[in-house]
Amino acid sequence: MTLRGARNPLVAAALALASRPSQPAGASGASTAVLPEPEAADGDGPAAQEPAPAPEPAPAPEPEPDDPSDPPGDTPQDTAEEDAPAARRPRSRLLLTALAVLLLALGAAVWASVGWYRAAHDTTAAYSRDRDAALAAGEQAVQNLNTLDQQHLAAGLALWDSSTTGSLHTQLAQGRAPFLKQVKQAKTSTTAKVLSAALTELDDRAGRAQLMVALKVTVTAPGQQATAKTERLTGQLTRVHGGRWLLSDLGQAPTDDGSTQQ
Amino acid sequence: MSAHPSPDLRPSTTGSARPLTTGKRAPKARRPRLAKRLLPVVLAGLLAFSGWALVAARDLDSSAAAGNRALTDKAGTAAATGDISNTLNTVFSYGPKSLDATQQAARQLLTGTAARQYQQLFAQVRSRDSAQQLTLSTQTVRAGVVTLHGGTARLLVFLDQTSSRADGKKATAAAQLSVDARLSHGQWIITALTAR
Repeated sequence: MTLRGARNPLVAAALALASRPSQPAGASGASTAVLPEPEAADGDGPAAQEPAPAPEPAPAPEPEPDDPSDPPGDTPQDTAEEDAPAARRPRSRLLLTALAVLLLALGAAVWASVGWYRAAHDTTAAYSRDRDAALAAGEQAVQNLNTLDQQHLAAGLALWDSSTTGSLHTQLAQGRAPFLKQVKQAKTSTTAKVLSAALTELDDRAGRAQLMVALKVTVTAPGQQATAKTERLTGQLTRVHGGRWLLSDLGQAPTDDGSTQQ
Repeated sequence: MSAHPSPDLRPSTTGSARPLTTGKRAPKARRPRLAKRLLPVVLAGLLAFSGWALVAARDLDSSAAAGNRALTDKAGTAAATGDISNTLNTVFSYGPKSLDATQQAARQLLTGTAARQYQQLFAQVRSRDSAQQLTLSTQTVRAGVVTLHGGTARLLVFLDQTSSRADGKKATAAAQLSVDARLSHGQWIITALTAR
C-alpha cells in the first residue's frame, strides 16, 4: 500500500522525510549537541523551508522554555554551553523537521482522501456501475424467465417471482395456474442462454432501463429432439428497494409485419 | 508546558536544588520521548491512510465499469449506434440494379473479417440475382452498445429484413447481429459481424 502510495510525489516526499528525523534524533540524544549541529542544519535546511512560512513562528518559541531545563539532565558540560545559541538549534531544528514531516504527511493524507472522495462520488463512474449492475441483472432475469425444469417447477417459478416486479410480475402471477397446467401436460423443459445483451437507455435517477437481448432458447420434451431457436427480446428494468434491478416488462421485438420468425 | 514552575529552578542553584531538578527531569524527558515514539506512529498511520485512499480511488477509477463508456458517453454512444445502423441499412439493402452501388459502399464501411464475409455473401447474391430478381431492404430497428472503449465498440443490433421478389412476394425476417466496429476518421467502420 505505502509502496503504491509512494508513486505520488507528495507521499514519496513524506516518506523520504520520515526516514530522516531518526538520525538527528539519535545523535542529539547520546552525543554532544555540538557535533551534529552543522549536519542537522544542512539536512534540515531545505526540508524546513517548504512549510516554513506558516509554522516557523509558531514552533520556534515553544522549545525555548524547554531548552534551559533540558540540558541539565545530560552533563555539566551542557549547562556550560546553555548560554550559547548553538545548543538550542538542534532541538528546535528537530522539532521543525518533525513538524514539517507531520505537515507533509497530513497534506498527503488530505490530498489522497480528496482524490478518493472524488472517485467515490464521481457521477459518471456511479452511472457506469449502475449500467453494469442493471445489465447483469437483466441478463440473469431474462435467462431465469426462459428457463423451466419439469422436475423443479416450483423452484423455477419462485425464481420468476424474485426476478420480476411491476406489471410483468402481476401478469406472470395471474397466468400462473393455466400456464402450469399447460407445462405439466406438455412435459417440456426449457433452458435459455443469453447470446448478447445491451442497455439502450438508462435513467439512473428514476431507476429505469431499457434492455435488448438476443437469446437462445432450447425446448426439450420427452421422446422428442430438442429444438433451439433464437429470440430477440426487449424489456424494461426497474430498480427496487435495496438497489436491485428487476424486470418489469419483457417481450419479443416484433418485425414490421408482426411476425417474429427469423 | 508553561504550567511547570520553572522559575523556581533559577534561584536555588545550590545543592538543595539537585533533588528538585531530578524530580522535574523525569516528566520533562518523558515528553520528547513520547513525542519521538508517537511521531512515527502518527506518520505511519497517515501514510497508511493515504495509501489506502489512493488505492481505493484508483480501483474506483479503473474498474471495468468506468472503462466502458457505453451510455456514459452519450454523444459517443449515439455516434456509434447511428453510424452502424446506417451502415447495416446500406450494405444489406440492394436490388437487381443497385448491386454495384451497394458493394461500392460496403468497401468503404466494412473492413477485416466483416469485409471478407460480406464479399462471400455478395458473390452468392450476384449468382442468384439474375434468377430471383431479389430486392432486399434492411432496417435497423434497435441498436445497443455493449462496450465502448475509445476507438472500438461492440453492439447488439436487431434488424428487420424485407425481401421482395419480381413476382411481388414479400417476406420480413428478424435478424440479430453482434457487431464489432472501429472508429476511423470520425466514422465507425464495421470490423466483424456475428449472426445471433
